[in-house]
Amino acid sequence: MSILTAEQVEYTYQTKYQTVYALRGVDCAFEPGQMTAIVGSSGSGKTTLLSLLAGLDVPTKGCIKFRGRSTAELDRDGWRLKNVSVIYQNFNLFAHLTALENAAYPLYLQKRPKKQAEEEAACQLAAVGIQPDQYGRYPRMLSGGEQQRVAIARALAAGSELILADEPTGNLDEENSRNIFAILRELAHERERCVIAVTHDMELAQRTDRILRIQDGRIAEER
Amino acid sequence: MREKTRGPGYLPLLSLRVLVRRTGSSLLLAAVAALGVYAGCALHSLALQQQRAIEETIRDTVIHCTVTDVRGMNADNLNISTAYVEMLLGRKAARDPSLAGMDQAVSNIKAKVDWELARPFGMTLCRVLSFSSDERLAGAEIHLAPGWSEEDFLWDAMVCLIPEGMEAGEYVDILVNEPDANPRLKVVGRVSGGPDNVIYSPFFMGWGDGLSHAYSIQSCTFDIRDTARLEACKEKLFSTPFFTEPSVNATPDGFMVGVLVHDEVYLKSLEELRSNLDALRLLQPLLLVLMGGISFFAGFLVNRRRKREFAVMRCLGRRRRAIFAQVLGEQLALGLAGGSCGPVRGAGHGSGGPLRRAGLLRGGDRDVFAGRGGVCRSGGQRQRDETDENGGVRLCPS
Repeated sequence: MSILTAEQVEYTYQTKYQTVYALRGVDCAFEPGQMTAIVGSSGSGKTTLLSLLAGLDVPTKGCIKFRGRSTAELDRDGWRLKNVSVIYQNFNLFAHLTALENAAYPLYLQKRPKKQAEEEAACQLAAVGIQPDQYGRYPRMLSGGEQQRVAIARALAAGSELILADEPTGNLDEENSRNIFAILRELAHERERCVIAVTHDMELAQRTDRILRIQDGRIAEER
Repeated sequence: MREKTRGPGYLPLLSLRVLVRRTGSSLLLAAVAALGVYAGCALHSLALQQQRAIEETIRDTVIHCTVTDVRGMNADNLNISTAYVEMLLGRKAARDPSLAGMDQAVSNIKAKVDWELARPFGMTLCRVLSFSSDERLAGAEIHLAPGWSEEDFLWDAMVCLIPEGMEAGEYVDILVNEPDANPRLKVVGRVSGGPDNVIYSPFFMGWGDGLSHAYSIQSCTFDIRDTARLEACKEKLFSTPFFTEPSVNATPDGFMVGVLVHDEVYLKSLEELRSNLDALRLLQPLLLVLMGGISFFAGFLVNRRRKREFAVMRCLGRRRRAIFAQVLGEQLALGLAGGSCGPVRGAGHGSGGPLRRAGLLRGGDRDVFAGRGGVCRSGGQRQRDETDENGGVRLCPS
């Protein structure tokens, strides 16, 4: 049973000089417990598709459906808060929050009590391999790999069914990249999350359950 | 089942904690707020000072008036008066009975002026008498400035004692209708216990034939309490048949007394103070707008650098409204924190220096900007040995 589907999704936007057709009729479906890699060359439409899947924007044509309901009809802020977590290449942690506060942020948003939120965030940090003595550190005091783990812990703490990762290993070395992908895969398999990762790295993509290759705004290949 | 709290949750508190961690930008915004409130308070303080200066100027100013053409005397009286003066200059203690006419003439005028001026308007008419020969000084206490003695009260010394209103070091001008012969008397002491409203001095008249000389007294004091009273007073003075438009050199007509109220400087001072006050009142809303604009711009610059942070919040599901409320709350907190420091510095300030240099405030370096009033009381110690060519209100030296 698909949790998220894209149906004939098209997305165009206007620049100063031209109309850009970023997606030209994308059809795909994503299931919980599965990790999907979206690959493709730069400008092929990978990140645009991820943004639409995350509900950050709505398609120009077609629709994205979450459990059968179009995201265009949903209160997308509330939907994202409860169901979607996004992990970025540049981590996007809050610079003035500690690792623990960053991880607990979605729980603060859900107005959970501070103590409860931080206990849960600490569990998620531990799950991704962050040591307790690092909980009080600010992002600038952590390595790239550690920051990305904190970002993943934040995604986990939110309890979202959908975890979308945009080039999550783009700023990491090979070892850290493998570790991060392993964590994401584990999330999908052991916690029944639907993980979708955009990547350039075909070697890492091979470690996922499914690969969608996008070319010129269309799904050119699915493995 | 997740437990949820009602209310704003922990995020507002976290935002405040982050403000403390974000020291640089927080200090900048707080400083802008402090500066704005400081400037506002300083301006307000300055306006209050100007208001106070106006009140003090009105309260404390003694406006000099000039009583001109003290006549009502015929040629006989003038002859008598000449003899009278000559006698006084000879330091004759005994009075000649023929002087009674002069006394009567002066008394008549004094009575008229008293009737018209002294009672309703508080005017003091000074009568020039001899210090050493006036029997009415018997029993009076004489306070002479150091270095002066009774022996110095000769006509050529041009010194005098006064009962009130002026201090040692000031001057009294006596007009005798000879352009270059108006003697100037220096006040060297005061008397108490003697008759009021009399200047004690050797009397000087021109040494010509004496008959053509009308004589006048300048620098009588004229107390007022407010401009409305002054205007009413002037109006009454000038509309009374006994008074004419002031002119020191008016042709003697034998019946009229002119009163010149030296209020030009006083009114100019008030006008300047009121103009300053108007300027300050105009500046206050402008400052409010300006500081609001600067605060907004500073906030904009600081928060523009947080675009990514806000975008991440949006991705995490935070609503625009909530983000806006957070930013607003932060600005408010910083504004309150900074703004609460402003009055501490600003309230006592407001010398008005920059505003005066910019030409927005008038009045130079006068003390009005220190809140002590711009127009000093006539006879104040600070004005010793200073004369005012306008014959009246003088400005305090800075």
